[in-house]
Amino acid sequence: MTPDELATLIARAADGTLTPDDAAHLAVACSEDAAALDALVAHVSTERLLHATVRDPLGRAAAQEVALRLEQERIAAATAPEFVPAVVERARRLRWWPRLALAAALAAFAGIAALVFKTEPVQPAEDHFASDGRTSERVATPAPVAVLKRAVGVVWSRRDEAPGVGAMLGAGWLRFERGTVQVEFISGAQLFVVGPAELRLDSESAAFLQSGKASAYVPEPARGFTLRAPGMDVVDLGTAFGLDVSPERKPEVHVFDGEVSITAATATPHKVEAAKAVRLDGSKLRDIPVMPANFPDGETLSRFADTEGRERLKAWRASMLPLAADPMALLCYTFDGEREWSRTVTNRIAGATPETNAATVGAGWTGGRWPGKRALEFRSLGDRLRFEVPGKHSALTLMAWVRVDSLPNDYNSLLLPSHYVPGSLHWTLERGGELRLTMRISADPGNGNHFWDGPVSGPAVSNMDFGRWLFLATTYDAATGTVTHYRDGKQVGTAQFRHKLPAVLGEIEFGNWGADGSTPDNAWTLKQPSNQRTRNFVGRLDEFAVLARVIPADEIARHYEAGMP
Amino acid sequence: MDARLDCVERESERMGALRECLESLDGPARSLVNERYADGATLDELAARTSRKPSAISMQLHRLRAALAECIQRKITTA
Repeated sequence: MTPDELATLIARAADGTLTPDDAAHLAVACSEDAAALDALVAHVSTERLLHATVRDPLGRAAAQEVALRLEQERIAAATAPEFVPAVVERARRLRWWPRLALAAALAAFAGIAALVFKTEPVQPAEDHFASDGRTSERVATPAPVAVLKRAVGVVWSRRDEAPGVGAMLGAGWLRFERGTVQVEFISGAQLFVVGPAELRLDSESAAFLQSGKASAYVPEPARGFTLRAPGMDVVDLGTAFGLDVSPERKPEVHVFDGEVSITAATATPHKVEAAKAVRLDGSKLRDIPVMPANFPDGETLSRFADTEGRERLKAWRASMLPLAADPMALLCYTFDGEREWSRTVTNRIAGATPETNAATVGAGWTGGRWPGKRALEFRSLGDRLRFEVPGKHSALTLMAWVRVDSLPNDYNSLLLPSHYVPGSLHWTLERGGELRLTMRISADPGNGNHFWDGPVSGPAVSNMDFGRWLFLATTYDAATGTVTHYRDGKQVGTAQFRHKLPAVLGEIEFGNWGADGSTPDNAWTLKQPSNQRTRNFVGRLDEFAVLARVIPADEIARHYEAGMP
Repeated sequence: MDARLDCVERESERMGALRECLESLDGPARSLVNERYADGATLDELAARTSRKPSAISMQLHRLRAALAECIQRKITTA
C-alpha cells in the first residue's frame, strides 16, 4: 500500500466514510506496520477531540460535568446567586478542566441550572408509565423438540425463518438450499442433514425427511427414533444409519452400525443390518452396496465448522475496524486478544485510555461465537463486568452480542448503574424476554413511578433462544426522546421518553447491579423486593459497544450481518 | 479515582492545547473547521460549497488533523 493510499484510508476512517473493503485493507496495513496504526490512532483521536472542542467552545460540557458532580454532593440552593462562584471554586479546587474559566461557567450557568436542578414539579405517574417495579409476563412458547447444534455453510430457504445456531427448535420445518445442519433431538438422537433439504421435526424422537440426505446417530436411550421419508418409515434399533431422499432418485437407506427396521407403504417391516443398504423401488426394497462416505458425519462437519468459523472470525475482525475508529465510539469491548489470566477487558476504540478498560468480577473466559474467539461467562449471582462511561450524552447506542442461558430474575441486567442522577439508564431483559430501557428523571432519593421515564420495551428473547447467540441493540436520541430496540438487526420496539434528558451511564456494570445502597442516590435499591433486588445476567457476552450517536437501522443490520456466528 | 482524574485532566489539557492551535489557523482552514465541526456539515456539502470533490475535502481535513495533532503535541511537551 502506498503512503497516499494509506492516507486516504485513514482520512476516511476519521471522516466516518470507511467501507467494509477499506476497513479490511486498513486492518491489514495496521497489522503489518506499527507506524500506520499510530497514524490511524492519532487521526481518529484528533477527530474526536475536534468534535468535543469545537462543538463546545465555552466548555459547556465541562461545566455541566462539574455541576453534575456538585449535584451529586448535594449542594443546595440551586438557583441562589452564590451558586455560581461555588461552581467555579469547586472546579478550581478539583482542578477539573483547567480551562474552565469564570466566563465559561457564567455562560453555561443558565443551561446547567435548568438541566440539573429541575425546578418544575414532578409529574404524577400515568398508568402506562410503569415504574421500575413492573415486569411482563412470561411469554408462552412452543415445546422444544430439538436443538440446532450447528449450521455450516447453510443458506436457509427463507431467511426470515432462519433459526440461530444453539436455538431450540419446536415441531416444524427446516428448509435450506445448501450446507449441513446438525440437529440434536431431546431424546438424544443426532441428525446430520445435507442440503438442499426439507426436514420436518415431529417430536423429540421423530422427524420427516421430505428431501435431502441425512445420517442419524442414535444412542441407546434414544432407541426407536423414527425418520420418515416419502413412502417409508425407518425406525432405528440402535446406532447409525443414513437416508438419502434425492428428487431424481429412489430413496435409499444405508445402515452403518446396529440395525434398522423399515416399513414401506405396502411391505411388512423389513430389518436391515449393519453394512447393508436398500433402495425403495416402488413398493419393493432392493439390496444395494452400502456407501457410508456419501453421508455426512460429525467429524467432517467439525472440520468444516472450524474452517468456516476461522473465516467468519477473520471477516468479523476486519468489520470491527470502522467501529473502533468511529469518532463517536465511547467503548468497544471485543473480548478478543485478552490473555487467559487477564481480569481486564481492553477498550478497543482507537486512542482509548486505560481508564476506559473494564474489570471482570467473577465472570470467567469461555467460548465465543467462533472457534478461537472468547466470551465472558456470567453464571453466579456476583458475576459482573465493571467499567465507567463519563459524561452526558444527547445520543447513545448500546450494542451487545449475548448468549442468554436463562432469565431467572424479574429484571436481568444488561447495564445497571451504581449511582443515580437524572438521565441514569436501566438496560435490562425482563423475565418474559422483553428488552427494556428506563430512565431516572428525578434527583431525589427514593423510588416509584414518578422517579422514572419509560419503560420502552420490545420482545427480544424467547425460551427457544436460550443458548444461541443474539445481537441486542438499543438507541436513544435525547432530541426527540426516542428509544428504539433491535434484536438480530431488526427493530422490535420503539417509543418516546417524555423527559428528553441527556443519558448518563457513569460507573456501570454489565450483567449485574453495583448499586449498594451506600449513598443517598442509591439507598432506594436496598428496599427492592428480593425478586427485583437480584438482577444478575445468566449467559455469555462476546462483544459490547457504546457510541455517542444514534446508529441508523441499516447500519445496525449491517453490524449484525458482520457478527453473525 | 486518581487515575480517572488524571485522565480527565490530560484530556482537558489536550482540549486546551487544541483551542490554542485552532486560534493560530488561517482563514480558509478556520472556516473549514467551523463548517465541519461547529455546523456539522457533511463532506458532500462542503464539496458542493467549494466546487471540489468530496475526496479533496477529505484530504484537506486529513492534512489539517495531522497539523493539529502535531501542534497539540508541541504545546503539551513544551508546557
